[in-house]
Amino acid sequence: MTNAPIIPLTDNHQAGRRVDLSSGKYLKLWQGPQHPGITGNMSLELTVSGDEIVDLRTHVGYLHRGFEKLMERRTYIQNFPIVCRICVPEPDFNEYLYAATVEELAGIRVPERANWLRNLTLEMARLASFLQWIGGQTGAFGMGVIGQWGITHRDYVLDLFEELSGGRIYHMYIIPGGVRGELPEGFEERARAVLDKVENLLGDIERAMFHNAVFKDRAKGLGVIPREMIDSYGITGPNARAAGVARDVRKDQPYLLYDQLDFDVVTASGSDTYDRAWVRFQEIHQSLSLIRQMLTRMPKSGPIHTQLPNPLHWKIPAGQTYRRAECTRGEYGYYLVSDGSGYPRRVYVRGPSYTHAVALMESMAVGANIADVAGLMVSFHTYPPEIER
Amino acid sequence: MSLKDILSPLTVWRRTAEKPYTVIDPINDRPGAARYRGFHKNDMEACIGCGTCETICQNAAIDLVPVEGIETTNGDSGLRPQIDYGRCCWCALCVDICTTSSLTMSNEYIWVDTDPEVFRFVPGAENKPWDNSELGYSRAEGYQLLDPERVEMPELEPDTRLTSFIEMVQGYSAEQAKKEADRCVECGICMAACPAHMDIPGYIKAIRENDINGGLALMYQTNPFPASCGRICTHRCEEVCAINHTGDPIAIRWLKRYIADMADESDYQAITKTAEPERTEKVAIIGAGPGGLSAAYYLRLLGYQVTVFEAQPHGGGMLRYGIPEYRLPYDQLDKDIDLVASLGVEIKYNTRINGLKESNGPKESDGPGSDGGPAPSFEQLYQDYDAVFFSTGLPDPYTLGIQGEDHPRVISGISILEDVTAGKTPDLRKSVAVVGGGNVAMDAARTARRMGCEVTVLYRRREVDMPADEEEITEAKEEGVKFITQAIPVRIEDKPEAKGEQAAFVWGEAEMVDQGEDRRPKPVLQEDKIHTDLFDTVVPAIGQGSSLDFIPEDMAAKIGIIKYKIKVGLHGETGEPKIFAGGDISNRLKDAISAIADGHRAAKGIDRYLRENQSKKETS
Amino acid sequence: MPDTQYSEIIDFALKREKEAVQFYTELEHIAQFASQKELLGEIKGMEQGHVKILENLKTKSPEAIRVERVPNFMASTYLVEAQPAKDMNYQDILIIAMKREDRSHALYEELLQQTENPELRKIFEMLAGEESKHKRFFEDLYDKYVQPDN
Ligand SMILES: Cc1cc2nc3c(=O)[nH]c(=O)nc-3n(C[C@H](O)[C@H](O)[C@H](O)COP(=O)(O)OP(=O)(O)OC[C@H]3O[C@@H](n4cnc5c(N)ncnc54)[C@H](O)[C@@H]3O)c2cc1C
Ligand code: SF4
Ligand code: SF4
Repeated sequence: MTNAPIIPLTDNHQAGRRVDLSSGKYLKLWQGPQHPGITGNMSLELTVSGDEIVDLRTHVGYLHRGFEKLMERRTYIQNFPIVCRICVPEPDFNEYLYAATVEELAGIRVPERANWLRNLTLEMARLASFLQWIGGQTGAFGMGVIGQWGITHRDYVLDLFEELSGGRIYHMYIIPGGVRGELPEGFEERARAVLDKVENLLGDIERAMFHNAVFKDRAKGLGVIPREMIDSYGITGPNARAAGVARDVRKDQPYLLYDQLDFDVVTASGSDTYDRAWVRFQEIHQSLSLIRQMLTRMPKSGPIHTQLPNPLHWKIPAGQTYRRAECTRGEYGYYLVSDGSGYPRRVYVRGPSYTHAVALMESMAVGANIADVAGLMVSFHTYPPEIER
Repeated sequence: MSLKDILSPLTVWRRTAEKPYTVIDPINDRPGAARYRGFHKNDMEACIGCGTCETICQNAAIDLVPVEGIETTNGDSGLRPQIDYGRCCWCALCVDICTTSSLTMSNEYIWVDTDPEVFRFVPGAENKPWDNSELGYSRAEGYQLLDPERVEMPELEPDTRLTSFIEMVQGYSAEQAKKEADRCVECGICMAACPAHMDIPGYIKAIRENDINGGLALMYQTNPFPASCGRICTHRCEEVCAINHTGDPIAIRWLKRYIADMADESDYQAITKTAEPERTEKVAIIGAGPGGLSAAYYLRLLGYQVTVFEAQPHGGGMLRYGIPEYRLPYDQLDKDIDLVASLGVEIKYNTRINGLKESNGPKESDGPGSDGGPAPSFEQLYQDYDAVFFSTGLPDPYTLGIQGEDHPRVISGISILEDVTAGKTPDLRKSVAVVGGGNVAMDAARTARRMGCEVTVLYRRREVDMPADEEEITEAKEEGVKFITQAIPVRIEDKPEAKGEQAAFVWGEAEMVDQGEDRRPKPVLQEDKIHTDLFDTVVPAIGQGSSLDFIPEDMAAKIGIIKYKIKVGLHGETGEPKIFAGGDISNRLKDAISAIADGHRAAKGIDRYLRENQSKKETS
Repeated sequence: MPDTQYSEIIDFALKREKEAVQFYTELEHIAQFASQKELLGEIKGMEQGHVKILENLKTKSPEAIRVERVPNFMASTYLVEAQPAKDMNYQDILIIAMKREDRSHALYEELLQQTENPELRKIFEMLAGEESKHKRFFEDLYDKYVQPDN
């Protein structure tokens, strides 16, 4: 069989290994592009031997909507409603970072209370996103019931978003200049009630998920990211922290009011699926604490928005900037270039998923078995929508 | 694997007894939050169809469309936004930017239908179940996309103003002008309200883009008096400005002035070059006021040979002899007039056209012609020229019509203003009563203040009814003018001891009597509430009339005069094909910009008339 | 009411209105300019209208008479009437007209006071109303065109 297809392997895969499909020892499997678990539309091309993965290639492109390009054709204000759509579970980071880059180049100062409200929503977004991840992580290991609790409690947080911003998913709340509205009457009490409810749930989750023989068995040792990969792959967020790297934009380069809030960077050392889950779990507790701190310490009134130049003619001085923030999955960044016109010259969105879902996944899957692929994928906590801007 | 890890998950067993989290009947049990961004609502009465919502919508989900029952009026385009929910992303930017705050959203988000067409409709115009819903998104307090505040105009302090006739409004700096220009949403509602239909959004944009020349050229397309109008225009445009609904209107007039101030002479020359070939037809224009000179300008641009006849020694009409220098400095008026003259328009000053049938020499009152010869008669112009346009204004002040008005201490407002322009000092003395509440009254009162008088304005109705610009009333007050409203003149008496040196002004208090909906209340004298005040001078400034005696009778019959006004068509046509008229003698609004617009339209009318004439000649 | 009395009164009123027409015709002759003549012509036309109405009344029964009363705003009470002159302006002519209507109105009001007869009263009321309506018309013109600023 001279024409047997040979799949070349990249350096990332075990060196020198070649897979001869015609040998009959291997099978190709596709996972996705329908949601493999809760990771969105991308697909994994598995080459398996028995149920062991010998090679994995990631395929993206199912979700490409060309946001970055679209933004070059829209005025600065018109981009405000679309940035949130880049990432469904954590839209607010897009809103915040877009606003922050625009404000920096345009020299706009945001009122203090607006910064508190922004910070509050970013932490609420983290909470909602973590709760959704619980759904994915447990679901992928066949523990869907726990997942339902997570998803439900995320919905309670979305209720808060809905009353604050008028939308459950796409909040469009953080707008250049500030935010679009005050906290509704009685918001604080309702928010605290939701936080208590989540806290109550966390106890159960700890018992049912983290002290669960099945979960431990499957998650421990799965997908161990070697410490030395962290920097060379540009790994951030809980994926890095679970490997013992205390990297967190909120501490390293504090934005909004994080330098005034009380929290520690959570780390672990095992760098496997279990430890990553544990770091996230601790960060849910951390989010609850941060939100409570903010509700207590936030000034009770004050301006929420700075008057912008007329958005219909708004031109922004030429310049460029990169701003970043810590979302649940790591570093989220916006790079904005202005040529002085009314339209951005270039917007580049750096989501953590690109690194974590594409390159990292290709490396880490080899050697795992088929049944663990979904759980492994979720353990990197990636959202394909922000891979494909 | 420890035993604990097997037993631990079982400790959450009580969750199995929980009720489901799912909302069973979301349509009824789960209405959108109070701020939910659901289907739009629009208050049809408040919306003005400015289309700003359409401009901002990045999804092009909005089209402005005609709606049955909504008329196009001054300040309302008559269109309303139609929203295509196949495109809308519910961002509510349209709500945030709505100039009138008419557009909001309901909290309704569920609507199922098999006909896709229904999802494109005009909110507010087609009854929807959520139209009256209290809940839903609207722009929050403390957050707005459009700046409601006008850039403040630097002005002289009232004390400084009173010491001279220096212009009190100082003009915007480049930075201020740009900031003010930035507030415009370019809806163009103002253009319809401007009697000359100036391209206001266009020249405001030119300011934003630092294109002074472009702005000036745009202004000259419809108005050859930008420096003057930039100061004294009645700015009807600002009244209807979309931003006026929730904030201060754009300072359109000051922006116009900014362009005129910034443009230097070479800019002026550059924009007014005419490409039209010279034409041989001659047009005579009577009156070098804004109406006459506007007609002259546009006729000259079309290549006609234009001669303007003006009774006074200088041009500008009431802009010069009425409006005081502190509002419109003469050099600014001259700048506008000089440009018209520089195009080759001949202006014969000191030349009063008379009504004599045959020109048998000037009357005593008529000045000589500028060439030293007698001033021509109307008849002569009619004979010698291919067309005649006249815009002779309203020079005759009406009197109070009351007893004792022939008292020597009664001087009309117009004559005071005219004297000051001519460099004479009107004999006002100390205490002055000005009667009336229009611009002439304000100008006379404030002029008197600048001459050191104590001034009281007496007006028949309430302050809100005063036809004078609100600004002028405020400024007059700042300058120390006192106001007595609801004061009806009764008679003027001479106190024997004052020997004609002081007038006793008798006036009565008015009661405002309601006249039903659309009419303003009428002031009715209360005969038991009569007051007498002594003044050194009483200044009636209640209105002016035309003086049309320069038109011979037979000609007048053909031209068509109704109630002392010239009856004209859309292009200034009178009953006599060769004769056109405009300005205060024919229009309703009686301000500079209307006269300018009349002049422009008449120029078009005359051009059409002369071309038709020519083609008739050629074919015959 | 005896018919004679009724038609006598109509005749009396008719005479007055015809006099008015005559008055304005004379003014037209005095007037020098077209603008004056145009206005006087218009006012004369209104008086001729009155003549018509009265002539029609002769054949109608008093029951058919509609009475319309217009409040007196005293807008012209303190105005001074100019002498008819060749250079009368708009203001002068309007004051003349208002004053005339005012006087006619006063006359009919007085006649009204002097009679008890309900049918006669009705006619006088009607005539007084007509005159004040006219006066009101001129007052409105005066407000609008002569003293727009007051
Ligand atoms: C005191 C005052 C303040 C005003 N303020 C404002 C203001 O703030 N804003 C505004 O927009 N408008 C204002 N107006 C109104 C404005 O001035 C007029 O609407 C405008 O000037 C009308 O222009 P016009 O060309 O019709 O007539 P005019 O400006 O009156 O010009 C008529 C010209 O014809 C000449 N003329 C008349 N008869 C003859 C003849 N027989 N032969 C030769 N020449 C003749 C006159 O000398 C005069 O120069 C004001 C008017 C007055 C009186
Ligand atoms: S912005 Fe507001 S006022 Fe203007 S058309 Fe839209 S809804 Fe109407
Ligand atoms: S809500 Fe947004 S997308 Fe919808 S019509 Fe308004 S501006 Fe357009």
